[in-house]
Amino acid sequence: MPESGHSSARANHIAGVGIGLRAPHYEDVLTTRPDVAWLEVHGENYFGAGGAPLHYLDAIRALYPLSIHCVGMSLGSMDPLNRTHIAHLKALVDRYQPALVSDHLCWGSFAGTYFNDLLPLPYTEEALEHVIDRVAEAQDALGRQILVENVSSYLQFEHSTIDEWDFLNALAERSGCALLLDINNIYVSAQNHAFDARCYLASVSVDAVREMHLAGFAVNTVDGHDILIDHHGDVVAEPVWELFEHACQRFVEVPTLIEWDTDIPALDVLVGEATKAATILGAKRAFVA
Amino acid sequence: MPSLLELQRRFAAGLGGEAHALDGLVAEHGLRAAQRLQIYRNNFNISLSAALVAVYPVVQQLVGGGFFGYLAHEFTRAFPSRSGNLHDFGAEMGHFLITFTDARELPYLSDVARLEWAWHQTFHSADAPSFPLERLGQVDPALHAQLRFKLHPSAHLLDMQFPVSLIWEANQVDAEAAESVDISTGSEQLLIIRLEEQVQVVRLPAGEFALLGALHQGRAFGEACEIALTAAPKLDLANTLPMLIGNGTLCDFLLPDDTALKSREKNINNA
Repeated sequence: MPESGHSSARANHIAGVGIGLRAPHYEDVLTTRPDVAWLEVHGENYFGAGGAPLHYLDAIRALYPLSIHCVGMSLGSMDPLNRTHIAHLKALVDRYQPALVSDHLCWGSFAGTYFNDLLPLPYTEEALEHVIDRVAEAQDALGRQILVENVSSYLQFEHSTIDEWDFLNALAERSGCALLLDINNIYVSAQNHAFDARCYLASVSVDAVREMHLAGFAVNTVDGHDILIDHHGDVVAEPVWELFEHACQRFVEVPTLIEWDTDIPALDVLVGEATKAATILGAKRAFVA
Repeated sequence: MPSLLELQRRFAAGLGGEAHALDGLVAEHGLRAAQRLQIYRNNFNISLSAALVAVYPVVQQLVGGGFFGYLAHEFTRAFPSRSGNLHDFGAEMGHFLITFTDARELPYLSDVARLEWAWHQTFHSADAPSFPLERLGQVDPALHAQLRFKLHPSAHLLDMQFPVSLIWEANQVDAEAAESVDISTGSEQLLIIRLEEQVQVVRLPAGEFALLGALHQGRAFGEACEIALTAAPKLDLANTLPMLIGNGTLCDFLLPDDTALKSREKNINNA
């Protein structure tokens, strides 16, 4: 797996367990300085030219290592790569020098219309070649390596010929990107499509994985059939903790994040989840004062 | 086997409402293709509607949550998201509501939406350094009429048909017990601006509104004053400028030479 040629990727090293930073917690994080190792923000929330979001991020970045996670690069779309979006992200990356920058293995726009969702790709040779080119293009524009995350999916395409883990491995190997393994998404997709989550973990290239995500899911029942939905609105479910324990044996001390995006609870709840994850990860939480 | 382009075209049509757009392409495993597509269509509708609620809380409060869901759906069909950043979505709501006949019982709704979009823009707009008072002090007073003052980059000027700032205030979370707003009190001229990190909604007298509008268009101070005095002959110009500088509404100025230089640069760039 090729190393990133850009030193900025390591300028701000992260280890241990972090939490997703969301606006309702800005004041709390600054005043209580919770004992979490690092923070991750959604890049798009900081694309504005100024004002409170950037002021808070300036203050918080002075206290914690940072990762920038995106939802809108639309890496798998057939539309041309959105250069305006990438330019906003590049400005943010230059300003905050995050340890990691990531987005998803998905697509989100067609003919200029955005669905602002993480839509599934067919796993074909054509899609693989396309995503490799797009990730390489994004990395060139940003001047650094990115991480690509597996998404939760609610359907599979009949004409897919490649397993998701093989698709990710090939993408990492051929584009030079790294992988962000979302353990909850693996669990959700495994339940929805009846595959073995442990087999997935055993097949992902160890060296490519630089970050893991943990979050909560919801269960929807359609026609008496349960579908798990990745909603980031609850504590991490017990079977996902078990899968995470299993993952930690293979992906040793990989930085791990607790994500929570809907019905955001008190900061303490996230810190509690992070503490639990840190125990499993076996890494010391490195509070950076 | 569909190409990736064809697949994305069909999926996009499915999200737009074609229930069977993915039939034959999707492994069923207990659920039909249309049901699986429906999950994505729900997620799409929920997340775009939530983005609109975040920007238009007062519009939502005025029409109620259920109707807002319908409004959000109709709006999204008329003005789809054009950005991977959801904060860019929803700009045309004020425009959309003018012709949205299902909400015609609330004729002021469009003005409320324009206020809320300006609030959203102001919240995310650029910061500005404080006004260079010392530099202004060094300018020959004979040149004052030719200065071009710059508004704070967060400033938005809105000419409203209805008293929407009163409606907006009455519908804030921390508003006192709702007082009814008499919409026949008529038009309002507003400045939405971020001062000391707070977005403020300010009702302006006609003269100040005309003055700021002219300055915002890049007119020289002397010319802007004439326009303002036409709108409000009794405007106290001697006190207005220090006030606008003092409260941060104006953040900088250009000397006549600066503007000449700037327009030359512009011409060169355009050449």
